Amino acid sequence: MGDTIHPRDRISKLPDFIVHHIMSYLSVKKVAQTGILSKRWNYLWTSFPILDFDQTYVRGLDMTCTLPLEFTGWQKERFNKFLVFVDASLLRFCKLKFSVQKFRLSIGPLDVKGSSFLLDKWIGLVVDNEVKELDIHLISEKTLFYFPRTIELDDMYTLPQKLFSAKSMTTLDVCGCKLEQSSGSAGLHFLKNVKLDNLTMRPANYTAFLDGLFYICYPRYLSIEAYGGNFKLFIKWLYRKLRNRDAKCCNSHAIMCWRHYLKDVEIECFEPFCSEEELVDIDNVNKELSDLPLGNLYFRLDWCCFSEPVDEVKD
Amino acid sequence: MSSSIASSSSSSSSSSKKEKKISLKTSDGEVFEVEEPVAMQLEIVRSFFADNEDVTEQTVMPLPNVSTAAMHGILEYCRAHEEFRRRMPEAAPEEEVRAFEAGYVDRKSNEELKEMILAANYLNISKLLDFLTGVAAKRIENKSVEYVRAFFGVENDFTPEEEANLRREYEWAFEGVDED
Repeated sequence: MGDTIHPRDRISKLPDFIVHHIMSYLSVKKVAQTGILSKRWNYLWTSFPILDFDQTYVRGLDMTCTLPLEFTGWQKERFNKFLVFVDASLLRFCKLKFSVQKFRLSIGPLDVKGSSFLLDKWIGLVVDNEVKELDIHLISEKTLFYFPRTIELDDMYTLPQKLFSAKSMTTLDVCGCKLEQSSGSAGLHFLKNVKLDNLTMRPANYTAFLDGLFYICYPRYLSIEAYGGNFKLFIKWLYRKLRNRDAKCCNSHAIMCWRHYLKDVEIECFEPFCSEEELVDIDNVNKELSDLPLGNLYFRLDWCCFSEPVDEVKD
Repeated sequence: MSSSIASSSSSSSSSSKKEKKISLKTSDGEVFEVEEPVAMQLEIVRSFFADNEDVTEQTVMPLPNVSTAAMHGILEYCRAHEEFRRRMPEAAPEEEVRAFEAGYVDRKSNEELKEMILAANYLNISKLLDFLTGVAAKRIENKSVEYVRAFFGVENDFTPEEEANLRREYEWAFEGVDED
């Protein structure tokens, strides 16, 4: 009879995905704590497909966006321990051959040259395991934390080429990294949301950056963090470039650049960091681009079918 | 306004026609007569009636994985949401929905909550499943390992050494936690 089953026995048979569903509402710390409940729960924790590693969860390392720019001795030790933990957790998960729903990594200050081997390995692992959402926030040791935050592209971590084979990726959110593709064509067809933060570069590099980005993907949403003077300059430049595309560029080539495929661009919304900030009227946003408060600006991009480029492009 | 037309037509159709009922039988044999729009929120019921041509209005659909107690809880939720939808077809009255949901789960024990999660999963009501799993998470978020073990009815099968090793490995996860 059904009613002879004690509720406890039935609950212990809660399907894995329901436990994972509950875990998705829990804080990262709490999820990690469930790993010691029992052997089954240790497995449930190991197989949880949201891999969220943020050093601010670790006591003593929760000092983002403040000085100093280097760890002291005991912090360094804790930081290295955290890296070992990230490495072990990723390897354990990826051995199971399940798909990664989300990989989030937020660490720094980081010795970019010394750590790129590790970062390449981790991104490679999650790409091999069909990662859907990738969120990489790095702070380089050389980042300056006063306005305007400036970091030269040379001091930034370059995302590995492996990233460009992440066919199932739908969301890419990067901060403090460089996106550069050395060969091949755009392959990230599922990539619909791209969020770029802490992109500091000289105006001379803007065009190369935009061409590089739209060489690898055609996102539906592009979000840029409006943060400090340089960002506003960049956003203004970007909006103008997206709206007024000069597509005389590759009329003589068979393969044409993104300008020939972008049908339309709209400012979708503006999310101020501080909720008390007045909402920016989207209709006036063009005029007010230089007066935006700190926040995230979202562009919605309409691409046309890639076999039929837009004939006429505004100049 | 289009909203007034929509609401008047829906109310006239529901009052003029005799409301159609669907019969659902729980694991302990009780038969529930459920108004059709409410029953159709249960995806398993909706697809049963959509996919089987030989079922009639008299067909009693067996639900062997759902207890009578869980069914009462499920229907209370679905009826309330149907009522919200009927009153405001375009946008649910958010504050009222929140107030209802808060009061609704406050009355449920941990055991009832887990049983309803299983039932909502079996009946395939994704909205309710999302809501209940979120409630379960809230109930354990700031609780000790022992409390969480009891909540899920988990038997600790680690040796004290194994548990100590794991606690060392996940040291960061146990820092600054108020055990209660």
